[in-house]
Amino acid sequence: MRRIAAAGLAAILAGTLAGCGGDDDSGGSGGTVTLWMYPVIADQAKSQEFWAGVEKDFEAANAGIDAKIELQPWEGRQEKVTTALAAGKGFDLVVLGPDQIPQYVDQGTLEPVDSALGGATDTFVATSRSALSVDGKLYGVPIYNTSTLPVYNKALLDKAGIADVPDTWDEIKAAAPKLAAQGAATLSYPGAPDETLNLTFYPFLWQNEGQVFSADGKSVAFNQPPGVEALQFLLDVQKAGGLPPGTATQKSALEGSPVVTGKAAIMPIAQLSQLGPIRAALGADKVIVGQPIQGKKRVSFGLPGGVVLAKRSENKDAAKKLLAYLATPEVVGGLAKASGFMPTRTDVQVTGDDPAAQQFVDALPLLYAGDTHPKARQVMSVLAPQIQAALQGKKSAQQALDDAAKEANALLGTS
Amino acid sequence: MTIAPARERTAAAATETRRRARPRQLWLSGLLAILSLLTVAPFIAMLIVTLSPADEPTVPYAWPRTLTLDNISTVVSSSGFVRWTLNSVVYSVVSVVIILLTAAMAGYAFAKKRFPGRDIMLWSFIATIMVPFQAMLIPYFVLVSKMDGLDTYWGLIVPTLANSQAVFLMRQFIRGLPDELFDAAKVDGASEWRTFWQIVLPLTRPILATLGVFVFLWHWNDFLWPLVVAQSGDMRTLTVGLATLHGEDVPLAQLMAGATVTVLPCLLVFALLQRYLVTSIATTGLKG
Amino acid sequence: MARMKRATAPWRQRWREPAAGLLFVLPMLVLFVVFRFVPALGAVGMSLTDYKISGEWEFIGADNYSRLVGDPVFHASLRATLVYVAVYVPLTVVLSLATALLLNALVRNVGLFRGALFLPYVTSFVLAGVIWLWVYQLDGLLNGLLGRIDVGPVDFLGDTALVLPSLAVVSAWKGFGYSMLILVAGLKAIPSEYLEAARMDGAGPWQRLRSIVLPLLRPALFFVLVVETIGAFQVFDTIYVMTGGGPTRASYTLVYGLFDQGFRFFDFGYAATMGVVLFLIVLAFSLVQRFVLDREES
Repeated sequence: MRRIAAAGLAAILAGTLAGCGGDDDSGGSGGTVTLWMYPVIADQAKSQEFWAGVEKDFEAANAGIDAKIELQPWEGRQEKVTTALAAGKGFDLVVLGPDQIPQYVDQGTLEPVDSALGGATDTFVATSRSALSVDGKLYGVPIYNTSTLPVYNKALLDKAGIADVPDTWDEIKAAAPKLAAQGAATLSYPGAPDETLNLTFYPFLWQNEGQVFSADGKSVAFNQPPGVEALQFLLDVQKAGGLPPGTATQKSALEGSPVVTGKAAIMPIAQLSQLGPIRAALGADKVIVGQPIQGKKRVSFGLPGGVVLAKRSENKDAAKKLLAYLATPEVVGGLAKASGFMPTRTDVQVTGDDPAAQQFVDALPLLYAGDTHPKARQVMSVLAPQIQAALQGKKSAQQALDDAAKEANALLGTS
Repeated sequence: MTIAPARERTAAAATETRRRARPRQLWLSGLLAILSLLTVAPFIAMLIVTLSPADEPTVPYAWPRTLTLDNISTVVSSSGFVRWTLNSVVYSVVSVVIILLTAAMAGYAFAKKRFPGRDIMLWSFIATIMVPFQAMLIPYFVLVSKMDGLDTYWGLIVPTLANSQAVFLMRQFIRGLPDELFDAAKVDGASEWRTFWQIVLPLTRPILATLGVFVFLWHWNDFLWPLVVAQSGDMRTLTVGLATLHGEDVPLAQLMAGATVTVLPCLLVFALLQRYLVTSIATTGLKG
Repeated sequence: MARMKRATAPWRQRWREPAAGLLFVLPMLVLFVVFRFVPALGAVGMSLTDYKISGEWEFIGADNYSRLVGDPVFHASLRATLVYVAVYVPLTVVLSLATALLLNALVRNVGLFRGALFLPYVTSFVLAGVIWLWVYQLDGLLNGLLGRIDVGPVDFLGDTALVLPSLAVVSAWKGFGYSMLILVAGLKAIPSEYLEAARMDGAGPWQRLRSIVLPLLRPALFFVLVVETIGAFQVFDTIYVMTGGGPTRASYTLVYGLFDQGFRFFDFGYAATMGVVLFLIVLAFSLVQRFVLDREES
C-alpha cells in the first residue's frame, strides 16, 4: 500500500518537473527583444503600468517586434547580469550605471549605442552622456539621472545661531564649533568602507577641483594636493567636533543615522527620495534643501542610468529600435515624472509633486557622475578603508591617501 | 539483599526522580526563558517594524508613533504574490520530499553497506560544500543554461537536490542504529528496499523531521539561485518576487514586511513537524 | 519457520551488499556528479585562465596561484578568517550543546522553548544586521549598559581587534539553532534505559554526561563540528550586512574577498583560484577532525 503511494508520489513529481515551466522564450526567432528594467519607479503598480504602456506603444509603432520589459530586483543585480552575460542568455538590453559600464565594456560584452540617439545627441545632458561613454563611444542611452543636494536641519542651525545655511567649506568650518557647543555634529558622513565614495568623499574631492584618476587613467590622482586638502577639510571639521562619533563605521542607511536622529545638522549628499523620511523625523518645516556645496567650485553627485545593449544579443536591429524609442521625450519625460528622478533630455519639463524637486532639476548642470574608469570600483574599495583609517585618527590625510595610491596604482598596473 | 522486581524498582525510582526534579525543572525553565528572551526580542522588533509607518523612525531607535497594516497589505496585494508563493511552495516541498528520500537512501548505504569507493565517495560529497557557492555560480549557471533548464521548474529544483549536508546527516544518524536489527532482517529474508522502508525510515523519524525543516527553510529562503534561474516573472519565487517591490531606497519597514510574510510559512512548517522532532527512539521490543 | 527463506548462491550473497549499497547511493551520486562535480571542475578550470564573461579566455597556467601566494590582501583575509573560525566554532558548538541539553532535561513547554531558540535561524540576515548594528553602536545597547558601570564606550565594530569576535557572536546567535536541533535529535536517540540504569547506579548528572551522553552523541557532534567549521570558513552574509570587510579590511574574510574579486573586480579566474585554495584549506581541517573524532571502528 505504501509502495503504491510512493510510486504515485514519484509520478506526480515527475510530472511537475517535466511539464511545467515559465513562458517559452523563443529568444532567437527574430522579433523578440528583452529589456531588463529595475524598480526605478519605486511603486510596483505605477512601475508595471508605466512599462506596460511603453511596451504597448512601442509594439504598436513597430509591428512584428515582440518587446518584453522584465522588471528585475535591485538586489543581486550584479550576479544576475553577470551570469546572464556569461551564458549568453536572458537579455538584449539592461539598465546599468556609469560605474559598471566600463567594466562590462572591458570584458567585451557591450555594443556602442550612439546610433540609438537618432542624431539628437545634443538634446541629451552632456554630463549624462559622458558618464555613460568609454573612449568616446556611448555605451548606454541615458534615460534618467539621479540628483543629490545637501539637506539641512533648520532646528539645529537656529539653536546654534547660524542664520544662513552653510554651503561653502569656510562656512561649514565656521559652523562646526558653534554646533558643537550645542552638542550637535555638523556633517553626517558614512565612513563605512563598503559605502560608495561617490556619496561621501568624492564630492568633496571634486569640489576642490581634484580628480580620482590622472588624465591618462593610468594612475590615481587623489593623493595630489587637492585630494589631501579635501580629506584634511573633513579631518578639520572632525577635530572641531563636526563629525558624529561613529563616523568611521557609519553606514548610509537613514534609519538611526545622525541626520534622522537630529544629531548632525547637514547631510551633504541627499537624494530627493530621502526627503520623505527626513521630513517625517525632523518635521517638514525644519528641513531645508540647499545648493551643491562649494569648495573651489559647486559640485554634487548625480548618476545617469543608461540602457546598454549586449554584444551577444541575437536581435540587435530590433533592440536598437527599442533603444531609440526609450530615448524619446515621451518616455524620458514620463519616466522622470513617475520615478521622481531627473530627465536626461533638455527638452523635457518636469512638474513633480515635491516643491524641492525643481531644485534637484536645476542642479543638473552642477552634477558630476564620477570618472568612468574600468577600475573605478576597485580603486574605491582600496581607498575607502584608508579614509576610514584617517577618520579614526590612525593616519594623517597625506599618509592615508598615499597608502591608498600605492595600492591603487598597483591595481591599475595589473591589466 | 532482597531485590524488588525490576519493574517496581524502576517505577519507584521514577517517582522519586520526578519529585526531586520539580525545583530543577523550574530552574531550567528560568534559564531557558532568559535565553529565549535574547532570541525572541529581535523577532518581536521585526514585527513592530513591520507594523510601523514606512518613513518614520521606529524600533530599535524609537517607539513608533502609530501602527499600521499598510506595509503588509502592500506586500500581499502586489501583483504576482500568489504566483510567487506557489512557486516557492513547489520549490520547497518537492525538494524536501526528494531530498529526504534520496539522502536517506544514500545515508543508509554509507552507514550500513560496504562497497568499493564508499568512503571516498562520502568525503567527495562532503567536500562539495567546501567550495563556496559564489565561486561556482557561473559554471553552475552556464551548465544549467546549456541543459535548457533556465526558467523551468526542473532547472530550479534539480540542481539543488544534491545536498551533501543531508546525506552526511542521515549517515551519521543511521550509523547509530544497532547492527543487530539489520542482521535480523537479513536473516528473515527481508529485501533491501523493505529493510530501508520498514526499519531505517521509521527509526530515523526525528532526524528526518529535523532535516525536513532545514531543507524546507533553505529552499524557501533561497534568493540567489531562484533569482538567476528565473527569466520570466512567472517563475519567480517569493523571495525574488518581493525583492522586485523594493525601490532604490527601500524603507526598512517594507523590507521587514516582506521578511515577516516570508517567515510565516517556515514557522508553520516548524510547528507542524515539532511533534516528530521529539519522538524518542526505543530500540528494544522492535521486531526485526 | 524455515531459517533461510531463500536458498541463495554464495556469490550472489557476496555481491548483494555492494550492489544494494551502490543502488541506494545512485540517485544522489548522479545528482552530485552532474550538478556538483562538473561545475566544481569548471571552477578549477577557470582558476587556470583569465576568464572573461564574454566567454573569451586564455590559459594562463598557475599564474593566478602564484599571484595569490604573494598577495598580502589574501594573507590578511586568511588570518581574519582563521580568527573568526576560532571564535565562532567553539562558541556555536557550546551554545547549541548547552541549549540542547537544557531542552532535553526539560519536561514541560519544551516545544515552546525550542521554537523560541530556533527563531534567529529563521529570521532574515537584514534584520539581524539592523538589530546587532544597533546593539554594537557607540551609542547603542551594549555601550549603554557598559556606561552604567563606567566602562567604555567600546567600538565593537570599529576596532580591528574586536570586530571579528563581535561578528562571530552575531553569526553564532543567528546560526546556533541549526546545530541545536540536530543535537536535540541526537539526544533523543540515546536510549533512556542507559541513563536510567546509570542514575540508579548512583552516577551524577555530570558523570552521566561524560560517560554516556557525550560518547553516544559523538556522531551528531562530529557532524555539527564539521558543518559549523565549513560554514565558518565561508562566512559572507554577516560581513556583507555589517561591516563590508572593514574597518580597514579587518573583517575581510576569504569568501568576501572572493566575492569582491569575482563580482566587483570581474576577475573570475582569480576568484575561482581563491575558491580552490579555500576548498583545500577546509578539506585539510575536516580531515583532521575526521581522524580525531570519527575513527572507524572496523
